[in-house]
Amino acid sequence: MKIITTKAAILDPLQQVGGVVERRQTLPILANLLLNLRSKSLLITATDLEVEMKTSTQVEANGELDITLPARKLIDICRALPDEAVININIEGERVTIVSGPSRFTLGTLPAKDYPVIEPITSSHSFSVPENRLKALIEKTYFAMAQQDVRYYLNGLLLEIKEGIIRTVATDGHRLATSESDCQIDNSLELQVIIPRKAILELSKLLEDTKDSVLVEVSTNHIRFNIRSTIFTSKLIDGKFPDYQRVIPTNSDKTVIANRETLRNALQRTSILSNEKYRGICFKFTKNSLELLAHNPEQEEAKEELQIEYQGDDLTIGFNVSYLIEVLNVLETKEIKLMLSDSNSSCLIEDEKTSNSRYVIMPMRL
Amino acid sequence: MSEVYTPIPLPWQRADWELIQRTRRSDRLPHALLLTGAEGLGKRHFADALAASLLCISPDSDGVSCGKCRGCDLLRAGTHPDLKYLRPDEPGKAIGIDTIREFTANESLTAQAGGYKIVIIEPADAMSRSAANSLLKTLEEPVDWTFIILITAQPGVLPATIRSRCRLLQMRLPARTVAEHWLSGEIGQKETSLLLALAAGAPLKARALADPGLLALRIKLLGEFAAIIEGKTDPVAVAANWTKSDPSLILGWYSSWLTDCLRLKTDPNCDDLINPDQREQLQSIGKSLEFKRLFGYIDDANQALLALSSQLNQQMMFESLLLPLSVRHLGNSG
Repeated sequence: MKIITTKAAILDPLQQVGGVVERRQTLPILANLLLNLRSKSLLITATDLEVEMKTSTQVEANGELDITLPARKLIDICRALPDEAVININIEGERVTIVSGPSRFTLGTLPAKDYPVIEPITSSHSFSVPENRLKALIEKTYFAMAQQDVRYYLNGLLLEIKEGIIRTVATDGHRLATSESDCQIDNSLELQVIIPRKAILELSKLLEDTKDSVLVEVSTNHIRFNIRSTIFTSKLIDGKFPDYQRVIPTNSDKTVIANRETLRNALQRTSILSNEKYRGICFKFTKNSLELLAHNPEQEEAKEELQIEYQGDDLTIGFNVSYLIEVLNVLETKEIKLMLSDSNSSCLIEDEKTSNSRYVIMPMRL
Repeated sequence: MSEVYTPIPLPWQRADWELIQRTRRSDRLPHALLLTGAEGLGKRHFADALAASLLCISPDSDGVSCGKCRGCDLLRAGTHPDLKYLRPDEPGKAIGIDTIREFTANESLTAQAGGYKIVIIEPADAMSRSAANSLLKTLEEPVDWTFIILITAQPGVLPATIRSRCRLLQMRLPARTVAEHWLSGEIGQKETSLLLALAAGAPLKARALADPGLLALRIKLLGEFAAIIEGKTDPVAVAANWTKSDPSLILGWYSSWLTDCLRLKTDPNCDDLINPDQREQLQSIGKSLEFKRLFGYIDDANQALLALSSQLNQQMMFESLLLPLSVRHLGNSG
């Protein structure tokens, strides 16, 4: 059995799926890639048992073949070959020889039927979204996911579909980010799944800014994204996401409009002298003016004043500056809107025009 | 680590097996099972068979896995994504907190095959105190479809907080006839009753002993033991010799000889011996020792067994056991 391909054709797919392979595996076979050859199309699969990535590429070969090869070694070999290299993969029983010009490598294999692939999804739900919309939904919220929280249902991103609207929500208990998009999905489709943190990070690397349609399939145990020639599958978090609607404040009576860029820069400067662990900054709102105050345990101080639009009563409130900067980084409009009520209530941040993405940040007592 | 894939429960485990399968059929399978019982009863085998049964797509009416479906294929290859073993990195070492944390962190994910997610902790008593504590939250309230099996021969070592969160399944010694029948099927007809006696009735332990080399070693060491008692050989040299084999095995033998000596001294017609083949020799050794000393030696041997898992110089341990035997002799003659 012989497969002929080139470095140019095979390296990118290999590297793409190879990213999923963990450096330290619980099972030896997880260090391998699964290769399935079906009529000149080579399907490459990698998994770490939490996520699985498959991608296909065209090769010159005949017949059908299932085999596994050590991922890291195969990728390193292909990468180290000269750019115009033609790669011949010869498969004879337990041994695989890779020949390219004067170079010759013999690799060991493990049986393909032992590879723990995720069976084709018997999807209970499926829908399509434009790739750039999905990318935006993830990028606008994923930074607020919890990390190794005992409340395991927070260590992921909630994907919710309701009344034709697709929505993502992430929270770590101190802040919450939610973003929504009207994607003309069948109105009767209703679903809520929590996608684990690792899958979201992989997905955000994988998604590009195109208008291609991404088919998403959801079953009770898995979610699968068909992105161009790549199929990305992840397990789900088996839990119930908290009722995020109750967290979003509705009775805020004070509205602040600020220039996003100016505020972000001011926050970044002030944050230098905030407490490195708690990152607290004091906000003093007075009529059309905001004063930022930070000090650290060494008694160093930062103070900054900026112009805003604000008509309400004077208000002093503390926030974790990192949370605010992360929100300002993902908002896109020139002006942003902060909605507050008092120094013990959370703050709602939106961009000035639409409210597609909303962010809630809990205050700090300083 | 490669698993021997034999999914049928052992003959003396039928009742336990049926009990578990009944709870499964009535949808009342516990989320955590604590398998206890002496070494060599096949607790691990039972756990493996149970895991295979739960992960099989079409088990038979007895609950035994089919061996043909995708789940069974992956189990045989040892790559089933929904079965995890938590074991010490090296035998005899502790199961650390990192191993447990790694498991609990991913426990909230859904199963890959859509059925049970099974984790087997073996031996559960090897968990360090902090590892056991980090398991408590998950053990108390795992997400649906999680099934945790803890295996231990010493449930008393586990914290009460772990024990109280599990359904206890205590495996018992099989009847002598059942065990002998099974053992003769495994190793042929030789010496089954002696082997079973040596293994205190535990069939898998008896099978491990069914090695002519091991049996010959036992006779040789017993001879050395007798020679020390008679003052014919140097206990330090014997101790050096004894450190060359598995110390827990040798200590077990040593303790069993002393026990048999005591039994025979009390009742020369005693039938219930651990070493029935060495009756005469043990009887004569017993005669030359006083009761008080015999009890003392047995206590020392048991102390040494408990101390085995700690960092201990084995040469010194054997010396401290054997030297008193010959000192007594010197004391009497001098």
